[in-house]
Amino acid sequence: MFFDRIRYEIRLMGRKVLLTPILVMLGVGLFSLLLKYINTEPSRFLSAGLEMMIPIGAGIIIGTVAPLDPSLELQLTFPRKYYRTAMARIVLILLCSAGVALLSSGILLALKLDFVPVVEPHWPAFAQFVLGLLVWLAPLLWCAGACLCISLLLRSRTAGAAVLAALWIGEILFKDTLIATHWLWPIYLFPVTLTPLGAETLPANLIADWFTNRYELLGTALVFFLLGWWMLHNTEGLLKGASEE
Amino acid sequence: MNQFAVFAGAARYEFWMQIRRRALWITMTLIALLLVGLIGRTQGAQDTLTHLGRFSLKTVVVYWTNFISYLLPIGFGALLADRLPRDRRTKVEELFLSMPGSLSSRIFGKYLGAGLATLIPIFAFYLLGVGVIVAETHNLMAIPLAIEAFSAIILPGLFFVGGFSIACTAFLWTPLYQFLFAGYWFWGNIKIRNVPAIFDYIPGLRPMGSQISLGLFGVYASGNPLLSATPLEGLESLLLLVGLGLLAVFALCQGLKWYQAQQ
Repeated sequence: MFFDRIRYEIRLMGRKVLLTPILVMLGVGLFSLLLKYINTEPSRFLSAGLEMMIPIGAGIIIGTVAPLDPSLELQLTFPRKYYRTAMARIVLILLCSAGVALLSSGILLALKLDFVPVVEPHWPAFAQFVLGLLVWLAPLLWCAGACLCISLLLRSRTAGAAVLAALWIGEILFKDTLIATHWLWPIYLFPVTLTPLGAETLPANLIADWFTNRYELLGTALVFFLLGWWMLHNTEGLLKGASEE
Repeated sequence: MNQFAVFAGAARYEFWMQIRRRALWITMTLIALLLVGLIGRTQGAQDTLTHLGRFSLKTVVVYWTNFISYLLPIGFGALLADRLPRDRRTKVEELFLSMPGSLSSRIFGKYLGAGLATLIPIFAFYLLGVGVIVAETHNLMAIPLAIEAFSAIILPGLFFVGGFSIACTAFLWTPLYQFLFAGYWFWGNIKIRNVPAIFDYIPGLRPMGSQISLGLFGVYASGNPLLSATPLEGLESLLLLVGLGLLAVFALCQGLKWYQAQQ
């Protein structure tokens, strides 16, 4: 029954939802081959695929899929509440994106193409694995939660995507400002890719900041998801959002 | 049937539909606030925009225009991206197809009407900044200069973005397009180390307007690999962006006509 439901939800959302992260990483991989061909080290770009591209892709998809269903009015009459269906879909999309990211990071590690500057060489393998996980998991959850909240709050799926995309580009364009302004670190989403580093290891004084940044992102993401879950209870808002677009 | 009337009617209808969208105003306000917040903490921008007396009027106005073209076109593209799929979602497409008005007039009307409405919050925010410049410098010449800079630097990029946002969503899933668009805005405007970018091969294809800004006004705001551009190169970029935007909509019309003929 449980697996039937998952299969049914995947069919309802369409394969495009689950294929997008795979296509994103395939595109990143192909572009990396081009970089290798022109004698440019691709590891940082591959890391950007995990840290920056999968999160924004998942964020935009969740912000689009969760607030609206073609049969929303019917869904709202069912005994199973819509927020539970929407949350199940969000979890499925997140699991798919995380699965692709995990698989990709494993492949990069095996090919020695990984770029994880926050490395503590003396740490055990599991701790190293968690470190690598934090690189993409924190922005993935943050972007997904933020886009869900914005879409529901503004009752517009497009608005969620637009604000998230602007924030994403803003992080790249104003990275020096973000790095220099310490109180902006809680919204500094992509430090591994964007922080200019001479060596592949962060200076010791920045490692603590990096961990703090990850915890803050995860904490904020949790708040976003709780807010989103609460807003998904607002059936009237969901219906208005569907008609306003 | 008079096709101009169809075009004007579609443009008028799309304009009012878009301008009344709450999401349009809130999205643009949020992006504008994000931009102001980030500019306020950026050293080079602070110097130019807060010490207006030290720089020429042209430098300040063009600087401000460049900042606008950093993030607000992303909102422009994303908010236009759902206009064509909306017709399909609300099942009015079949109704439109049964009407005597030509498809091209309707699509170009949509492009112009929705684009113009989405432009208004951007222009309003831009004018706010120009108002501050006028108040600080006591120089009314900032207004015509600002209109000139806006028309030359921002509008061509918006033509380009709008054209592709309308056209690509005819065959691409809207969220996928929005993701690709965000990626393109990054890759198509900013040089990252020695990663090849599209403007390495087509120099004028910089929708943020850096080549136009440098070529026609001699000023560009950010640390940009483009060190110089001649007025001719600026003009070339302007024409290329406008031309490609219109070409995308034209190709969409032809593609949809072909698709209809196949059915």
